[in-house]
Amino acid sequence: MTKETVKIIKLTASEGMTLTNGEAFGKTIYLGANDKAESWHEITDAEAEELQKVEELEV
Amino acid sequence: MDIKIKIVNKHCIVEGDPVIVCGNKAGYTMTFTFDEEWVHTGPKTARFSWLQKGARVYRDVDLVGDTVTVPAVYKTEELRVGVYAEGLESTAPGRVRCVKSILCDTCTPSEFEAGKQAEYDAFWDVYQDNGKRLQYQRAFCGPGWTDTIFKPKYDLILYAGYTGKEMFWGSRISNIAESLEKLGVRLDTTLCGHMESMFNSSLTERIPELNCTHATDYGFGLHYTFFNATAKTIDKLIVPENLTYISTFYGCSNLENITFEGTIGNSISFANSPLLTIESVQSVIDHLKDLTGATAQTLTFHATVGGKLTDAQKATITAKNWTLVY
Repeated sequence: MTKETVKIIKLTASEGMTLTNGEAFGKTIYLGANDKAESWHEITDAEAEELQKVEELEV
Repeated sequence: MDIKIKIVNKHCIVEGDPVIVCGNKAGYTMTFTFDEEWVHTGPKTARFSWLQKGARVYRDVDLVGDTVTVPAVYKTEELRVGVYAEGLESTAPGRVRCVKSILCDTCTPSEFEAGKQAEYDAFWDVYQDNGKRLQYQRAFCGPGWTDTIFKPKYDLILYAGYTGKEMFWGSRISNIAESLEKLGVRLDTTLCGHMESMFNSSLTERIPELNCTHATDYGFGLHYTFFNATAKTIDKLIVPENLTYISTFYGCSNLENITFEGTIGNSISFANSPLLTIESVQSVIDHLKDLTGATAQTLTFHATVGGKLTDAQKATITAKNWTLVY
């Protein structure tokens, strides 16, 4: 049996806000082992929704 | 019935307005009256010609004396007849009206099935180049492709190049994987170099296994591949670690089941898929590349899915240097 203490940094967006690193968007972020909290910032939910819209391509 | 025909100045003049009913082998004879040009000719032959399925066919019958038995004709509304003899040019044809018999526009069930098969072969042999078609870009693109029409005859083998791009974009085939299984036809994307929008906006419930090994050959990755697709199941994605995922699963709100093989090496998002099963989520986690020492990538789930992750799963994801987002 092994016993490990795992440290995970969790970021939680404030109410009405969404966290983003410019590419991904979410309310809850669990940072990868080498990712940095500074890579993420808050934007409003409305801004996040707008940025996440993807236009349909035309055939 | 005996039909009288005069030969005058190399013209066949049919007396009266006789009508021949198709399908009769011995019901009709023709008796010719020849002008003085034919007095010293040798044996004479009557040529009968008619249209059958768009092609003009003919039958030659030797006269016995001045009379000939008319051969049975089918599915035609006009019979042409002329006479020729050695040493004399042939006559211009005379025309006799025909009416179709009960036998003309009917066929046995086996004949019907044979006809259907012939029509099926005629289309798919051409559309798939007798099994040698190399690329299927947009081959089944659009709402006109439905279950009724989608019946490929040969394996769908996508060769190198722009071969899978938009292949099933917007199609209305209800279950592509099942349709192919029933037909005994496989979709082989092993060499396919372009899978962008391959199932974009398609209405299929289940997508068959896709080998994406060469999908990056043209720099596009699985971009928009399943964009707004209604699929519940993607049987399997075999992915190389350099494959990129841009809006790959955007709008896949029905997606429940997905199995990975290979290595997921770049950021990937299932943000619009709240119904992903536990097994599917685990498959994603199991195939994340270990990015220790490299730049972190992001794994995005829908909030519903993310909220069900165990601490162990979160630890596994982050330990591989993937940032979990939901």
